[in-house]
Amino acid sequence: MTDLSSQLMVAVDDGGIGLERFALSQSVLDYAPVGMVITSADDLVIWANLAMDDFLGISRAQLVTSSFLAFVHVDDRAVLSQDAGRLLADQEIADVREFRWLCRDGRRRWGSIRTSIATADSGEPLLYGEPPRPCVIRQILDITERKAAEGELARVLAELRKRNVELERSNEELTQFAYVASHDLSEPLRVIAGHVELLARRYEGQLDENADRYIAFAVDGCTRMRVLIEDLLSYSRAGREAQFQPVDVTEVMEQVRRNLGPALGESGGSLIVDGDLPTLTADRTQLVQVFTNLVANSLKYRCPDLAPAVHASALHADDSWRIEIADNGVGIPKEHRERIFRIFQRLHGRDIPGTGIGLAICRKIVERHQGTIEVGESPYGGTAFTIVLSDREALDNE
Amino acid sequence: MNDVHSTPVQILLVEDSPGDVSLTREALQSGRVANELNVVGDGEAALRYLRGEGEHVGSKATNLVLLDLNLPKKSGREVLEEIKNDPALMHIPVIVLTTSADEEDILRSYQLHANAFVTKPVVFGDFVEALVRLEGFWLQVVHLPGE
Repeated sequence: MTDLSSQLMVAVDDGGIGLERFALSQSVLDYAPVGMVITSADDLVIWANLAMDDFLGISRAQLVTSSFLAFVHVDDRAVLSQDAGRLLADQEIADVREFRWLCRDGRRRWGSIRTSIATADSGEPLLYGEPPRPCVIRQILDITERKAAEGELARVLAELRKRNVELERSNEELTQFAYVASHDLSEPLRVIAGHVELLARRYEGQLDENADRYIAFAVDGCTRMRVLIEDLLSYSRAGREAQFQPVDVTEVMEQVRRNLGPALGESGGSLIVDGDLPTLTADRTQLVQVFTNLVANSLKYRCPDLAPAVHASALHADDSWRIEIADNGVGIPKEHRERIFRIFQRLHGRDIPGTGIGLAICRKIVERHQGTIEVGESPYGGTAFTIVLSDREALDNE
Repeated sequence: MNDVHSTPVQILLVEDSPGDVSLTREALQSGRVANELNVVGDGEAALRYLRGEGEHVGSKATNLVLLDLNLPKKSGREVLEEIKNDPALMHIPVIVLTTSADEEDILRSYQLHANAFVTKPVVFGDFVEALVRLEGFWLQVVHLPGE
């Protein structure tokens, strides 16, 4: 114990506290996980608990008689000094502040500090020095790890925000690109197709057989190109500007039934709703498009010797609805199940018409609804598409 | 129906793509009205033609303008605006004939007093049909000034 701390004990003793009691409370204070320092009015350390050894990286013996503020980061000194000054003037308790200090080993530490006037049991200020003046208590919580975590969090958040902005921009660019490309491709295509058409009209049978065949190929190529461009346009538009509102999926299925009336009639197919279908927060038109595409697919890829039957059902699980569209068609082999959702991917040859846009549009719409779409085996022998959509009341309107 | 025009109807096509000019020419030949198709490739030339200025001194009075929107030098919108603000030209029906089906383009054209906005059909047969009907309506059904 240094002279100063024995003087403190004298002061404490003078305040009416027995030495024994102070020794007990000092051991309690020593092992508290909070650093505690008592300084004189002019900032000299009179006493410190054991935690301060660790906080500052020097022994208590070295600390006592040093300036406390000398350990504090130069930018935080003024405010902590003002806190003490104000306390000494009006004896109110200062706010908890965050500050930085430098550990002897060079590490910068963050602390949360509360400054107050040291009082004896009597409630009177503990006096020290010549002339005797009130002492200041600084209680410090080491928040270095929390600050590091906060800093990391802020950094990650900033990074995420930046990536989000980049993603949004590249998404926007992609949408624009698809729209402009398909739009601008239409113009020369119209000129090509128009003239090929004119050739076909005016010169069919007037040239040789090869010429007629070439012209027919050109006409066919133009037609397919036109369909591809139109599909690219619908894909780029799909899922945009969704209007979210409560949508009764039963009613959606009725609309699908009306949309596909001719196809159902022609194939002798049926659309069967098993059990109740839910009401979801969704864009009605887009949901109709999704289910129309799925049911149309079932009718298109049917078993040749079987009347197509498409079953729609729903299950509630984990705050979401799983809506299943299951058919008795030809099915989709496991290895192709991811590929079929990509734009212009097809599993069948020219014998079954289509460009491979329908399922890509379905996935885009479902994802815009923050849902998922998967394909698997149907209990009826064909393909089953499962769409999982949240049953939250209000989805964020994009 | 009006009397059949004794002299060929003068149509001015403002279009910079020769392919489109060719298609429009072919399509108009399918119509029932005798017409003379005059073609200019940019917006400034269109205005000189209509006003009989520069290389177009002595051009015949135009009965109908088919105007593309995307043109070099002066855009179709500017040409449309100038025609509709010029007392000597504002009576001439202007049909915007373009690839665009953009809402903004459509609205803007009508605000500038286009007489009709037609999106060129992609399929040639439909394009012919559209032009024949346009020609039939504007040159046979309606009564234009100075006839």
